[in-house]
Amino acid sequence: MKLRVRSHWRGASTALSIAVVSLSMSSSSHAQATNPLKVGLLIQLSGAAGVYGAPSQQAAELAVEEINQSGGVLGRKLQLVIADDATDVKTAGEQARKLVNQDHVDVLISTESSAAREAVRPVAKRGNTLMIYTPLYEGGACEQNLFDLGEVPQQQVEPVIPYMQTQYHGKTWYIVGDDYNWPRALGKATRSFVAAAEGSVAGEDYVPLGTSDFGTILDKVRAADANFVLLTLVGSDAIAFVKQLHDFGLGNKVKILSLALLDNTLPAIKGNTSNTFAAFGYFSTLDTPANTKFIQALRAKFGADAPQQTTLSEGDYDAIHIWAQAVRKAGTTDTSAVVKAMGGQTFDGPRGTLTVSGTTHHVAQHIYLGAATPDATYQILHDFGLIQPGPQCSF
Amino acid sequence: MIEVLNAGYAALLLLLIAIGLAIIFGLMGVVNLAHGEFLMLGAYGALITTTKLGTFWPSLITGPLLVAAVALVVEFVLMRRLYQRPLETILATWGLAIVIRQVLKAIAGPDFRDVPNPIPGSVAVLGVEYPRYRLAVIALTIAIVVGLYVLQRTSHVGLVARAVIQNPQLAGTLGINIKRVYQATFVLGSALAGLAGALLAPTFNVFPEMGPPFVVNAFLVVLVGGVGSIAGLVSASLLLGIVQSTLSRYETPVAGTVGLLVLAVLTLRFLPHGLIRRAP
Repeated sequence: MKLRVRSHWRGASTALSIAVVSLSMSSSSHAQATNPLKVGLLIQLSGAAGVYGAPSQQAAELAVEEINQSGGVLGRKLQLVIADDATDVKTAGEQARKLVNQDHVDVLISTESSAAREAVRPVAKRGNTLMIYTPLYEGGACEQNLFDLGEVPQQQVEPVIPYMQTQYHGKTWYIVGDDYNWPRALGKATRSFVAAAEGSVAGEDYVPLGTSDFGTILDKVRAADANFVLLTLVGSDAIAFVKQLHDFGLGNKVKILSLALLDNTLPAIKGNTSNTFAAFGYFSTLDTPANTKFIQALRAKFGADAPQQTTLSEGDYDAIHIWAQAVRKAGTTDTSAVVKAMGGQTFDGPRGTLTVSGTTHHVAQHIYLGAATPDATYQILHDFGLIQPGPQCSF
Repeated sequence: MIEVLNAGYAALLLLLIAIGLAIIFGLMGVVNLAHGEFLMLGAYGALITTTKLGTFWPSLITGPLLVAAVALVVEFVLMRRLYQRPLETILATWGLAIVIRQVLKAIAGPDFRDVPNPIPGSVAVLGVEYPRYRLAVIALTIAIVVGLYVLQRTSHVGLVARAVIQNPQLAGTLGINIKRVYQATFVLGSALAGLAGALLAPTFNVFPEMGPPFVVNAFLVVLVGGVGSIAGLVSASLLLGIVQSTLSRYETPVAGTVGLLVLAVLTLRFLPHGLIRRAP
């Protein structure tokens, strides 16, 4: 009696498992049309750099909406999967593992600090997931499956140094930055660019992140008779430095060339904007048809007081569009096919025409010099033209 | 001369933040990891006051008052269950700090806000330009610290406080209302943090995450200076402030931070009760 029941169950369970397997196989081929492509977006929504995350999310949502409204990619809609690294390197690694290993995103777009990128990179590599790192950075991040769209020193600094020296009649630079990899690498690059422009670097100082008192540094800047400060401070440190530079009476003597004082932090230095400049590939005040259209679309979707776009956030819009183009060209989401298709992609977006190099995995882009104005925006002073990223990687 | 002023400014700000922390720890055995958030609330108080009234100076009253109100609520809801339990207070106040930060972010947003300098510009001090506002902060902080010292030494309130620090049980049997003393102490210590936040807002910027960096160094001052005496705290903040400032000026800022930490470790190793010993 028992044996017969058992064999009944065995037969039934075998039949059931065959049914389940064949059902799932057929459902996966059916679901191609309804199964969305997952775009992983790893950004800084909280923590010290939390103020930069919201415009990134909005720019990304706009890009996804535009692409979905025009039919999606390969007949599939895009779905944004957003993760917050809390401006913490350890959290960045954890969230990257969640996006790659649990959510199985088809692309990982990272708009985080250089420190966080180094934690996220190996996760994407091990998961064989295409990764696009969008922010300005120090250059040299090379992986087969990694593309870097942001401004590198050869773009953000090299053409700007000789221009500033000639325009503002000075040759002495003082470098002030936060103490982590990006500022230190930029400091090193700046020294070689200043030397090439026949200027001199009178001093170079790095402070712990979260420094609020720049009295001693400003004393050194004054004692060195510097004409320019190359500022690689980020976030509230940069704001505090600019404010205190004016408090110490150096506002008329020293010009600040900042590399990370983004558009949306200008309201915090309201009365102290004179002689503060920035060099980026994108400003929210860029007066081009493409940027006007972009800003209007964002305001229509998110309201008139949508947070200001910056080069960090606009980069996510570019990244999603460029990736979508590459997937269409490759005809598949297979990582190595899309990597191949990324090379040579051009995109006309809010920051102008971008061309992705298949050899260097970096991007040639326009670089602009902006001057901070009392109404908390950057006024664009000069367009340096299309600047190449230089020999970053070689694939 | 500027080095002296810079070191003095740094030391005095450290001292102001550390005093609040020390009062709370010394009297009540509470390690308040949310002290930085009370500083942040004081800074937001300055932001609101300056925006609404158009002038900054009332912030030195309204900032601490706002923080005192919040501290009263926190004391009632959370702190009174944790007195003389340092380990539990670490966890509880860590959580409290996170809650306060997130609530602020939800109300005010994450953006960096500006409190304009009420007396911008600099004056020549022995030939070098030094910010007017920093000189004002130095003068005000010295006045506050001296006032607290006098209060502690000569007033009835100060006497009661010293009695409770020395021996809470004995003080209780003499009719002192320990619970009231604890409540007042927590509110006062937190209000001092709020005052520090309001004072430094014009030199810095106001945002929900601003608190933690200020508190780390303040804890070192409390450990090195000992909780029993203002004199100890003054010595510790002067020592640490000067070391960090000088190394930062003549070497690098990283050397300044390292120097401060090394000094703190050495002092604790050889003088575990702090710089100025108080009979237990």
